[in-house]
Amino acid sequence: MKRALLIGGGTLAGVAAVLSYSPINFGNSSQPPLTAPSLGSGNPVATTPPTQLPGNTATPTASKTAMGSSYSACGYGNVQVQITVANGVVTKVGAISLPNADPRSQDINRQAKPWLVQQTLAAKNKAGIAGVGGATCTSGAWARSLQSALTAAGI
Amino acid sequence: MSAGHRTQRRLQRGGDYSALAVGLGLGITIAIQISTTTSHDLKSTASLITSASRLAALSGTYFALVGLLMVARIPWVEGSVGHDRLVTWHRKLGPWSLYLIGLHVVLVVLGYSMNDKRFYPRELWILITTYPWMLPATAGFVLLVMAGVTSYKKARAHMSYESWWVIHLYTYLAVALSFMHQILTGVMFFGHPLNKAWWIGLYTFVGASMVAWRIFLPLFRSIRHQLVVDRVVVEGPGVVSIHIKGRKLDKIGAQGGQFFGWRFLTRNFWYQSHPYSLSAAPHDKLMRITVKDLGDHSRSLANLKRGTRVLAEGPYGIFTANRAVNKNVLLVGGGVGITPLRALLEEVPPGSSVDVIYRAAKVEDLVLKKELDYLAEQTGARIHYMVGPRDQFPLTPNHLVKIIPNVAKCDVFVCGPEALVHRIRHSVEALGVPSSRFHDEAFAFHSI
Repeated sequence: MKRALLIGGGTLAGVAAVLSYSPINFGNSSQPPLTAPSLGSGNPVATTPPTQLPGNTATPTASKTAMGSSYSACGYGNVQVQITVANGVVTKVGAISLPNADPRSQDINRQAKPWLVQQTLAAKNKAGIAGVGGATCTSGAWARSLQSALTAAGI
Repeated sequence: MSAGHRTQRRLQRGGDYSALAVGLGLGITIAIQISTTTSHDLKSTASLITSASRLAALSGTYFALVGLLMVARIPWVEGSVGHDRLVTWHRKLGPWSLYLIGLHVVLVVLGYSMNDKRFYPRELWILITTYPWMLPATAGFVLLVMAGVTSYKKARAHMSYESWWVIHLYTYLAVALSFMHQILTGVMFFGHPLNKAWWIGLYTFVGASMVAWRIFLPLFRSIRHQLVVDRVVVEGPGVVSIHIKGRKLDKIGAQGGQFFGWRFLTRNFWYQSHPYSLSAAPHDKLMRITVKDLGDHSRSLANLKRGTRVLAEGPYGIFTANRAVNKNVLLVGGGVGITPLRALLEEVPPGSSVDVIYRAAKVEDLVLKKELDYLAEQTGARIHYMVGPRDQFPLTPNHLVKIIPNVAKCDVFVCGPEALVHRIRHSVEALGVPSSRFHDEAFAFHSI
């Protein structure tokens, strides 16, 4: 009986300890803001204009887009991304295609896409993103398509 | 306070700390699921089922890891909880981890198939063939089910110890095979490095404990103590004693009543470790085990050659004389179960009043009789031989109290077949012996 109480008490204490460190986050349903906060201070696009060399009247390099190749997400459908590059930095990424043939894929990707966008922008021109849990196939295909887009953009 | 009381207290505390640690770990494991649950996971029946399956997977795997830890032979845990209790808990926990992991398999496919509006078997097929590391995980689950089925009482009764043991060994592989699919597809791990660290840490801790205490310590001991077979002596029909020679054996710190996992390095048996109790208190240069022909392995022990190298895991068990709280001691041995009691008898504190009950079906089965008689003469112990069919020696409370009038004041040590252990337990409980003074070592406990 005493042991059962110790196990039960320990379980509650363990749950409480973890939840006080990383609380439950039902509200925002794991949707990060599309304008990811990590783009703030360290972003050269934002800081470039004020530090333009004096006398250089030319506009900053125009942004260009690059399309990645299409990769299969474990057979559920294809993933193809398009990136926008300005001054050698990825400023925007979008999905030309995501698996959407079946309801779960639609469901998964509706959830995963904002994360993948955020991770891509935070990765600073690298394709090595962590990916999204429950969307492993999409994440892998996204990373490969992103890599090909970066190569196409000459980064 | 007597040494016996102190030992009892230490065991009590060891059990409490272990229970608390297991509870904390379970709490953390459940919490990493709760903290990564989003409103999306609760909005439909299908996603609720999927969430439940994740919880079952986490807790089931946690129990499997704890179960492995219980048989990892961690010296501190062995000494403070006791091997027999660890194995008992391992056996009780094992089925639950299998049920929970089975529930995970059933529910995750159900949740996904409902969400996708796919036929169940088709969903199962897609999950196994397209998700990363799902094929190894499936193989792992099959191995786990096999170990579960063969450990089921009725199935195990029909198998040799060796076959059961080899199949059971594959559970290590099963747990290892399932690891990658958890880390790669588990929603609680993706993008949550701390959760991942907890899980990887848990696996690493269990794996490292296994390797350190079950592989490296015995290897180290074998090199340090140079254990080799010295002599094989026939004690009776199907019973042999094996004398094992070595150096500085007192440094191992074994006591009478304890046992080792023995591994005899012959061509056919080097890979199997078998538990046998010491049948004499260990000396500086010699240890002895006495083994009855119970399976293929124990039969072949009779043919061991002098000089065969031996690896020994141990000593294990808290079936030792220093647990006795009282000056009155009753030792009950059934058949070859007398062997640890024979060793223990040498270490009963001087001045104790000792009774020994030795049950056997036939006179030939009374092994080590000469030694027992000699020790009885030396220590003043009274030996009650009970040879014959069971109904002749009922060992009921009435029967016991007639032979040993002060039985209620005794510390009782029993080793033998499970039926005998149960009978003695019931009888002495009825006579007022508290469970803290009842010490048992059923043969079955030895077998993991």
